[in-house]
Amino acid sequence: MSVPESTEAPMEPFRYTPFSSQIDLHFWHKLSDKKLHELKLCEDPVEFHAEYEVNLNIKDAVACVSYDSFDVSAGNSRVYRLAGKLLNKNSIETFKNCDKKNLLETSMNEIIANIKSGAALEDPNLLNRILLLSYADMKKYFFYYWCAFPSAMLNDTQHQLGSVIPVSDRLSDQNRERLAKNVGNLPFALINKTTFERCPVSKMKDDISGTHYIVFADPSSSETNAGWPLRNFLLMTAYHMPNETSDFEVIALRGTPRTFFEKSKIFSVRLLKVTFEEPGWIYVGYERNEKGQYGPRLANLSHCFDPLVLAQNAVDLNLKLMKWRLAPDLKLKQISEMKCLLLGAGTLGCNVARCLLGWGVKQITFLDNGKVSLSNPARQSLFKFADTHNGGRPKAEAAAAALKDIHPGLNVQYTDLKIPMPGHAVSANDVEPVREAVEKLEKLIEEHDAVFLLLDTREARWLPTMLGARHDKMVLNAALGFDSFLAMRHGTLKNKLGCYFCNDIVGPMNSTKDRTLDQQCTVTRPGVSFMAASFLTELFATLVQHEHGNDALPDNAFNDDADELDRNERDSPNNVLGLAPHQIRMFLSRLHFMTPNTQRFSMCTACSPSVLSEYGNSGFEFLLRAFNEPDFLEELTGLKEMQRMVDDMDVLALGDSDNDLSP
Amino acid sequence: MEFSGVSGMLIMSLSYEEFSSQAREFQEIAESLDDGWRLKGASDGKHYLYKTQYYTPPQVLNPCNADCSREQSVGATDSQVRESHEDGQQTFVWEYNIVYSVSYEVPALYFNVFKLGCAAPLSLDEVWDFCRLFGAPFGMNAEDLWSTVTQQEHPSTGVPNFALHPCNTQRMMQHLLNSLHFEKKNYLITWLSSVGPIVGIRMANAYCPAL
Ligand SMILES: [Zn+2]
Repeated sequence: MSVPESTEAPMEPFRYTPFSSQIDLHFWHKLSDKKLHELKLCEDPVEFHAEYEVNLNIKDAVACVSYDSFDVSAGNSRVYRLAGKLLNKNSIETFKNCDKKNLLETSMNEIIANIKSGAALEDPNLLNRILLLSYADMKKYFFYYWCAFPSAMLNDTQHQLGSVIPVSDRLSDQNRERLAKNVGNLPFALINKTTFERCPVSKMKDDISGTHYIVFADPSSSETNAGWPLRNFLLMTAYHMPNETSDFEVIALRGTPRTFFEKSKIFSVRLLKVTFEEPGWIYVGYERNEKGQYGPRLANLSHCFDPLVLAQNAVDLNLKLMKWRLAPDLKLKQISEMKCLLLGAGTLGCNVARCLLGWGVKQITFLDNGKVSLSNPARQSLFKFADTHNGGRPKAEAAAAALKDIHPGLNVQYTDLKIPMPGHAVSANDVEPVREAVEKLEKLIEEHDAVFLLLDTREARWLPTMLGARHDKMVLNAALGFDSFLAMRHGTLKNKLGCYFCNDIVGPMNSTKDRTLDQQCTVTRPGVSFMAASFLTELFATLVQHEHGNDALPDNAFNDDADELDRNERDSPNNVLGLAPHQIRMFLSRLHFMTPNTQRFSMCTACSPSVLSEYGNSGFEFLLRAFNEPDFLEELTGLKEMQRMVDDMDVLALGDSDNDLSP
Repeated sequence: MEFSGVSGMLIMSLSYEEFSSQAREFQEIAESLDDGWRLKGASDGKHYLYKTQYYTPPQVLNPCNADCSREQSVGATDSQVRESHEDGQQTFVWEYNIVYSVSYEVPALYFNVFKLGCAAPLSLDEVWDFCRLFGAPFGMNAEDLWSTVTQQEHPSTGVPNFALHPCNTQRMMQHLLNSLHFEKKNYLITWLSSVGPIVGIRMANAYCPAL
């Protein structure tokens, strides 16, 4: 037999579109299950299969591995099957170190043995195999894997002849119908070129090159290449054909049986006879990874399988829905990335934390110095009876733990710390601990973006108010009365709004000596804390979303006197979540709301320039005097002077500490 | 199929038996059209419809977020291989599931999207970009349908999927009943042709001559 003389350009090798594995979630899910309950530490090969189709209309030749890939009995007439072996390794080391070349060779040698013995002539399904090497890291939900579709190659034994032509150029519709009918759902067939009768594949031992088409189900839709399954079929043909060289016409079945594979192509190939004994055979078939390299892939499925990640996704999804549906301009990330410091882990602290969680806030720090007492769990929504045992668990710690239980993905911190207060004198022995507490608090405030004042005394709010103003933080403040609450944001230099103390004409004093309702949150109607916490959190979210953020001016049109709302302003894009009032005051018994604005007060004992600069200059020494000397702050700010001036006028201001003036 | 008044609203539900038989008919039509829908029986004995669809957008919309690691090369260079995606086009795989929602007594659509070759599904944000693309030609208000999307475990396979939550399905079917020629035997098809396009499901007219 003579090899045709190539006077023209050297002949092109016949080329194939390799399989692209598409291993879906269901399969990894099943494998995890199988690994846990069945395989355990066993590394023996497991039978499974992949499937391919011929009418996907994409160039890739996709081999699907899915939910029922372990189910040997499942079948479907529209799909073709690749039987295979799964080799699931127990460790990344055995995965890395196993002899992959040998695996491929062993599998291909089995295929060659089936070709030589004639078994594959009887059942051409034996020609194509899938190997799946994997390692499942069940802690991280990482799946390392590498697929191979074994084949072999000897240079210059398969050549492309001429160009690829559409099947309609050669076959009439009627003949195509006969072809489709006679091939049925076989992956390979030999079809007579004139009668379109199918003959047994073993007939390739005779010279059929001129009389028969080789027909195969082609998963690829490439214009230039045939799909991978043909490769081993042509190897078998080259082994069994009687001549040293033969030219074949191959019909690549594409499209659907219903339309008689209308998209099919005809390839022409010249085969040289092979024995598999020649030197120079190389074994091929490992799949390239996404980078185009021969290497394994890593499927990181933590966001599908890891309950922690799933929980986080669920929270985010809820918020995204709100964004898509109601507020397209909502910038969720701005809210969720806010680091929130919650001063006080009582009713307000617990409820604000729950609300923040709903907004997707991921970093929350609790600060409190109390312990959970028997009366707490009923009202303080993060505590349980067990937290009251053994003298009570520290509140900050218990609240953090509870939040972590609810949403393990959170970054929750806690600090057990008593906030130093004016009017609570510091003894000589306590100076150092108090200094440390101040430093710790200031550091926490610096590290966070928003500070929530959820404390149960007025004077405990003084130091964080002053520090919040000093570090220009967003400060949100809630206070409860028996049937009323105040939820407010502290002003900034830009918007000139006041802080909690700006309304006062008396400095913060030791109010626990003689409690008035407005400072004592334990004697409140139970729902008030929930309301205050939710109003405060929503005010926080509104503020974060506001174009001017913490510097936002309140909308003066919105107060209880004006029944006409400026709708344009309300709907303006500046305010994604609507109005950002300075204060919200509610009186439950009358179901009455007020949203007053108050100006920054130049003699404020917490946020006035004199206080801030004095702290800047004298630091802790200044604080000590504020803690120890009853009238120090009032003298410093000029409040005392003003009080003397108006003494006779019997001012009935907020009056929440008038009793403190008497001993 | 029940038409009963609850708080002045008609309730349109579908029993599992009705779902199952309509799913079977649906699958037969799909098979005759080579539309790829398959009826699967889950381990709990419940049927669901399943379809994989491949889609290659004009340009790459989304990168794949899966990590890849490399190892040593295996084997010699194969001169008889030509990769199909050398032209840079990326194919996406859409997996659709139509399952029966026991609690809402309606069909529910579950789906996932993958970059071909990546096991990790796209995030909701990435899928959302597609859906805007799909919905636009139909003049569909994607936001409305998507307002019900959740991430849920597939009731039969346990794999997390995106799902169009069935809480609105009865109401939507009621609207369709009022505005369309609608027969209860076409419940499944009518429903799917209403919600499907938003996630790229195209329904041939042959599914329901009456529509
Ligand atoms: Zn102030």
